[in-house]
Amino acid sequence: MDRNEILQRVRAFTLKELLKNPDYPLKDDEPLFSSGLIDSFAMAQVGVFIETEFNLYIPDPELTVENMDTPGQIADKVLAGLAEQ
Amino acid sequence: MEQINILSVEFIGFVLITLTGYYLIGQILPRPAQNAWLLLASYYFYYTWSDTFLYVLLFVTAANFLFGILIHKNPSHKKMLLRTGVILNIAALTWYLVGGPFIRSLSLPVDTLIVLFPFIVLPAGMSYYTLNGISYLVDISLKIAKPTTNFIDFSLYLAYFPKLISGPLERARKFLPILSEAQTVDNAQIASSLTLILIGMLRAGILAGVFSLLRPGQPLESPAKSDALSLLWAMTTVMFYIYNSFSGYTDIVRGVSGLFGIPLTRNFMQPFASKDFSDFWQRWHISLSQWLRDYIYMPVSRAFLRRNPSRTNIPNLIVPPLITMLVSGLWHGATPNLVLWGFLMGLFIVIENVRALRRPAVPQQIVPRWRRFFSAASLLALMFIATAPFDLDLKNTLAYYRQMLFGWEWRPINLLPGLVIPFSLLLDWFQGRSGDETVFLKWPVWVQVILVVSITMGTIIVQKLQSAPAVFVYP
Repeated sequence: MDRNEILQRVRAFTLKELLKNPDYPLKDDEPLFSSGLIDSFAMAQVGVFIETEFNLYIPDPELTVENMDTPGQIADKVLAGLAEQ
Repeated sequence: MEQINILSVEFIGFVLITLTGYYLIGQILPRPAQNAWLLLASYYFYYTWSDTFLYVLLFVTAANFLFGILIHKNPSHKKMLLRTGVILNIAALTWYLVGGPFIRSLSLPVDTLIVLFPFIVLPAGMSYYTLNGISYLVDISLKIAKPTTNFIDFSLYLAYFPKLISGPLERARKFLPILSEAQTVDNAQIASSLTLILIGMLRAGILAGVFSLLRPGQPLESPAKSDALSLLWAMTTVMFYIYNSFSGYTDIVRGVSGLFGIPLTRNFMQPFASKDFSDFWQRWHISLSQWLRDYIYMPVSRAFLRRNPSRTNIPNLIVPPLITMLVSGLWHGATPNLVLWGFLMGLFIVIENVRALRRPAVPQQIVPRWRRFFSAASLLALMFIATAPFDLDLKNTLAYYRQMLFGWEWRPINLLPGLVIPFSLLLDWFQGRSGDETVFLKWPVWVQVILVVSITMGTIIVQKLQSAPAVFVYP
């Protein structure tokens, strides 16, 4: 699975489940949590999404705003995790 | 032996001797010798608080060190070993939080109480070093940290004197690697560390000291006899007192630690500029909030989301914040008022989560100003409700709430403590606007000189005026 495919799935999940707005013009480097667009409590949803969508467990202490603030960062984290498996 | 408090001449002397030894040893011996010196100094510091506290710390240290290695070396029994290690930490802390106060409440002879002292009085800092132990074990089991085989380094992780009594909470995976690096503290680091110490003196020594002298919380001593307005005003000033006292304390210890080349986590970030409760907990006692988020909220929330991934599912919305804040309340002290405090804090976060579901997602910058103002005002109003059980026992909390409903009558209030609030907010404003907590380093030298002299003199004067040293031990 390449980065672009991961990114597309992350974007689709973010627009549908987190923003609840499929028409939102989301950029790949747009801060989701630090900008207040989504509250940080939604990070748990991101963790479960990655578990089910990519069969990858990211430990709770690593699900942080610093690591996963933008769709691009989330995709990179998933890519790195899949590479380690 | 006299206990070394943070705002004292003894502490300055202790830090200077420890720092001198640290750098002299660094000139002739490798890094492990510096760590051993720091550990000795930390144990001496703790010993001045109580020799029996030291034994409890040594026991918790040895247990966590051992379990860390066992969890790493026995993958097949990892879960069982992790549970045992975590339960050991929780049981030790629970004993002192619950068992100790219970025995103290029995009418035992004084001689018996003296004998039982090591087993019934919560050792200072234990609430912090047990959480550090738990996060260490969990991180090893999650394979995001490896156990150290260096007992001195691990002991220092739990006992390091700047963070031992009241935090901030540090993660072993960030703290331990620093102990294996050769330390070079440059001029910029020294300047920012000294600035933090100075800001800490201003907050804890002067602002909190003046608050304490003006006795802002007097109406809260007997809420049933005070009117609602006096109580609200007292609660406001007490919140500012706690904020300046605790954040000032943290600034001082972070500054001291910076002089040793060991950075500690920032613990406060303009909490009174929060937009809601969730935001507040990312600005107040940050290291504890992050710990609770990583080791309570996230695992609980993920467990519920795995059963039903919808965020609108009622248990997903309610249970994780409530459990997290109840644990926070119990950690602060296993008393009915603190359980109520945790419940209320959790409840308000649940309400915010439900409200957030109904609003379209928009970046914070484009939220209308009136709505941001309304959010801040409603947060403050709810804080008056939620904070009461943190400061008062259950009986007085109920009396406080009764007066909030029925005690509206005009009586003169002590406005004097309010003089300190603008200084506290101004300090927050300078730090928040620049996004730099040591912004004062960028000011002209002559202004810096005036600040250094006036803060030092002010701290000495205010401390002299106080009958007891204003040292804040949290919780």
